[in-house]
Amino acid sequence: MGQGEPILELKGISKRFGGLTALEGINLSVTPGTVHGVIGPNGAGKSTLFNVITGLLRPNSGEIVFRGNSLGRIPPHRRVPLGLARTFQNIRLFKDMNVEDNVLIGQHVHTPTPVLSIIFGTQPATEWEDKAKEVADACLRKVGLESKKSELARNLSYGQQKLVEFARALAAQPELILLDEPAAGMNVSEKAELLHMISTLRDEGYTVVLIEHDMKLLMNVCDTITVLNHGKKIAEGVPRMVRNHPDVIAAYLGKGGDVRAGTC
Amino acid sequence: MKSHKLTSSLKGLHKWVLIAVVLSIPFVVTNLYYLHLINLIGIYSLVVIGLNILSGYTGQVSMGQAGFFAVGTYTSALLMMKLQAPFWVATVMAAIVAAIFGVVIAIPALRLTGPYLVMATVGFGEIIRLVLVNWVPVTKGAAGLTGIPAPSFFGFTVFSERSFFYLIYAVVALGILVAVRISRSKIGRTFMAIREDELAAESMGVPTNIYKVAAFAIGAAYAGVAGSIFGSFSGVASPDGFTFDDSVGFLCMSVIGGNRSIFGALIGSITLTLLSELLRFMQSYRLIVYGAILLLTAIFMPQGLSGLGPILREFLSRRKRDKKSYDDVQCSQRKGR
Repeated sequence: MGQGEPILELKGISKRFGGLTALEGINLSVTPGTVHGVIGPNGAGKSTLFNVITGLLRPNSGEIVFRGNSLGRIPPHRRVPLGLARTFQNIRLFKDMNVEDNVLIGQHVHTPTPVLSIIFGTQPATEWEDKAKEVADACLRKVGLESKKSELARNLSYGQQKLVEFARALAAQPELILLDEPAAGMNVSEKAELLHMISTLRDEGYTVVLIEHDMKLLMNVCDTITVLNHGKKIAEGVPRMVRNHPDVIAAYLGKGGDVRAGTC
Repeated sequence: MKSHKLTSSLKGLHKWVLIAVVLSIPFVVTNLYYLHLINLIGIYSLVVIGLNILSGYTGQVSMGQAGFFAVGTYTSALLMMKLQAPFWVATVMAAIVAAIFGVVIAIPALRLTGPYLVMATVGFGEIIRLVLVNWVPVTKGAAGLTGIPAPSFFGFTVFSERSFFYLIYAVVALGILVAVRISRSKIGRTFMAIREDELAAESMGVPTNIYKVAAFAIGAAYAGVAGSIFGSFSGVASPDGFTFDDSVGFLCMSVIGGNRSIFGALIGSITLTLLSELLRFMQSYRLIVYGAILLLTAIFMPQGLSGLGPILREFLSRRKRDKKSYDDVQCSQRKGR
């Protein structure tokens, strides 16, 4: 893959739920090694976009190209080994499992499942398990939660649970990480740490696509920002340009003199 | 260091004592009726281990476990009676055929969750029972199969309650061993992830459909093995033994014993089998008692009886700790004087 060639490219993606058009003709290209922000008011279609990229939803039309392959009808679980991992807007951890086991599930596609070895209790199963645990612990160390690895996920604070999801996504060893509102519900210091973590990831060569409401966080960390409103892309560019874009200001704050207030 | 070695060897001793106790049961319990009950407990616990893997670990509630149990019983009995297959071949085949049934029911069940899945499994159990009643040329209909041969190994026939005890509990031990290994492995972890959040598991790369089918196959195979032993153990099999009530009974054992634990299956089988004997005088009214117990379990101890272990252990260690700190205070006060 040549430099500058997009790692992820959406071509004319549309998604309709009955009469509601959640996404309409979205074109998007993500440059490898960058942090790409997606913003937009509530209901703009950001999470739908993620669900389409990860395969949980099938678009009505359009094509997704990831690292040169068209994703087409590939089911979600087969997109992970291609290098795609995500977190969720509303935390979706395995709550009654401990933190380490949560992260180990992220490793699923990278370790074999030696069925016979497991049943007969032979060496390979334990060796693979130890290897997987090493990687999982390394991911937990990255988010600073190694000390919590034996705790049940449900017993962690909200911010910590977000970090565990983050570690679980890292364990999938992705090329592209999709973060759905990672900073929501975090306090100021947790946000600062998250910011640091995201830029570290970029420095390590990961590509990050980020949905976020926290404008300050986005402006600080993103290389490119795409703005969605009512399922359409209304602006795209470097943070400074997007912030001053009239359509963006209109979408967030309303147009001056417009009397449609309350209808959107 | 030395004391650590001692405690670990003591722990090893624990295991041997347990094995010795189990092995001596048939010599201590001389009442054949009680021994018969103990043997039934073993057979039921195998069924419930399978159910725990399916329902407790993977979260796929099944109320058709008696159906798999029936498939195992009839497969093995027919193979032994019509083809003179040896018991162990019949048992392996019973496991395989039951597992195939598990896969077949799993495929439509993949898209179902919660109450819809329960309804589908209830339907499956009923279909099996109706086939057994109506496929007269093979299953002998409602009259059932009689004269199912006893297991024999190398010319030694397992016939008495005592010899059945050893056969059954050898299989139970093996069943527990395999189930524990599965549950503590990557497979068990993946099962649990599906129970906790199927969509998240799918998004992390877990082929959830394959794992759900596997869970059904494992759950059914355990019931199949249990069914094979059950047929030879009782010598007869009729559709009456594999009704919806029996499926509910297995589910009760699973929930009351604790369906997220392999040993819970054993605890649940013991509790419910003994309870049903104690309540025999109430006849069909005992279902009321079951219902009440199930309800209370669901409300007050969702982890079942096996869930009480950790709670009890913590309680005891806290008391010990409290007592110790109390003693320390007393001691320091005395010193202070």
